[in-house]
Amino acid sequence: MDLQELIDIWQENDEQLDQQLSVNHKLLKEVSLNRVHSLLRTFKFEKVAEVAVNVFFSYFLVWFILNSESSFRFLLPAILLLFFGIGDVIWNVYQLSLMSRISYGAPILQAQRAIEQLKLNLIRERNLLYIVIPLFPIAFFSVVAKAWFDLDFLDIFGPWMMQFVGGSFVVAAIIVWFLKKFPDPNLEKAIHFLQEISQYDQEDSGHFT
Amino acid sequence: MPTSLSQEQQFTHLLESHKKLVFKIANAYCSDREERKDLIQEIVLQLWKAFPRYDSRYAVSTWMYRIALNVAISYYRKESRRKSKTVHPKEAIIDLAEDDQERLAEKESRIGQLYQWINQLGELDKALMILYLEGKSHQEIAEILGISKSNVGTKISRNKRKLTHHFHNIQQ
Repeated sequence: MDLQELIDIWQENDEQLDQQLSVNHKLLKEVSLNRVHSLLRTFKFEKVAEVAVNVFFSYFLVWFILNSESSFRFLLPAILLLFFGIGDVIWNVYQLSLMSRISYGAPILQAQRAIEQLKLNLIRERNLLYIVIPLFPIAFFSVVAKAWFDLDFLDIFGPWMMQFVGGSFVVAAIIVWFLKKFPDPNLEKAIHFLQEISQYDQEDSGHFT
Repeated sequence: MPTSLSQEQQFTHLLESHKKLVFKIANAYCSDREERKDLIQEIVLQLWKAFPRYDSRYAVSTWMYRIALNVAISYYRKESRRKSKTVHPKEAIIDLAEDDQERLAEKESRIGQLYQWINQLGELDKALMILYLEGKSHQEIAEILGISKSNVGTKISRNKRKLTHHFHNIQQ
């Protein structure tokens, strides 16, 4: 069977489809036209809210660092939290810019690239959170307790907190090992598809003769 | 489209005149009938959502192909969500009669063989070959896919070779 024959089969089927296909107008009205919702819009709202909270929290941390006469043991967790906060703002702004590029009306490669980049970014964010979350609470509670209640958590729960920090590093190391040993299949799929898109985009007539 | 019609009427009219386009793309990306109902519903939903923002610089068909193909590729790639979904719509917005359905799924029929070959292609090549079979020019295909015109030509030639090989194997 050659290509022309296939085109003929396709077109012959096309003519038949004209007669055979029907649009269910009742269902169209009931289901589709009334069910317009956007997961992406909800997601965008969540991201904007997260940026706002982090900007506010970073502002508070800068104030804490500059104005408190705290010792180094409070400044260190505050700087660590500030680093997380600013990092999170940058990360979320990047995700929002990816979301703004997602449009089903855009050319296929452009839209699919943005979708896969966002997917990849969300998986990486989740993986990073697995590592950050165990380290986060001690820094957060010690800074907040000092700033708002003038309580020295490190003094009260010192030995326990040190054990917790040590344990958190061990847990983080195990998570890193686990993620490397058993990578998320969706992460690999997204990377592979992004490579495929780039390759598809770059090939020109010189490569395939 | 007449401006006196409501947006909903205009959309219904548009869908009626392009129902084949939606069905063929859904069928090329989803051979399972139940999943196809789902995909068609999703394509129609996204078309409806994008309808008020339709950019008249492009032909209606270019706009529809972009949306339908983007939705189909994304649907196809959400494999885990698709497989875990056990409840599919009972009816399809665009569908064939039962007899025609069987004929299309019939692997020995010529159109069945063609769809079988298309099914074996990657997501992007599938889009390219559907557009080619639809009789779109290289320029139009380039606009829909977002690649250069010369790239379109290269890829079609490569797929032609794959196709010859595929049907040669079937005949043997």
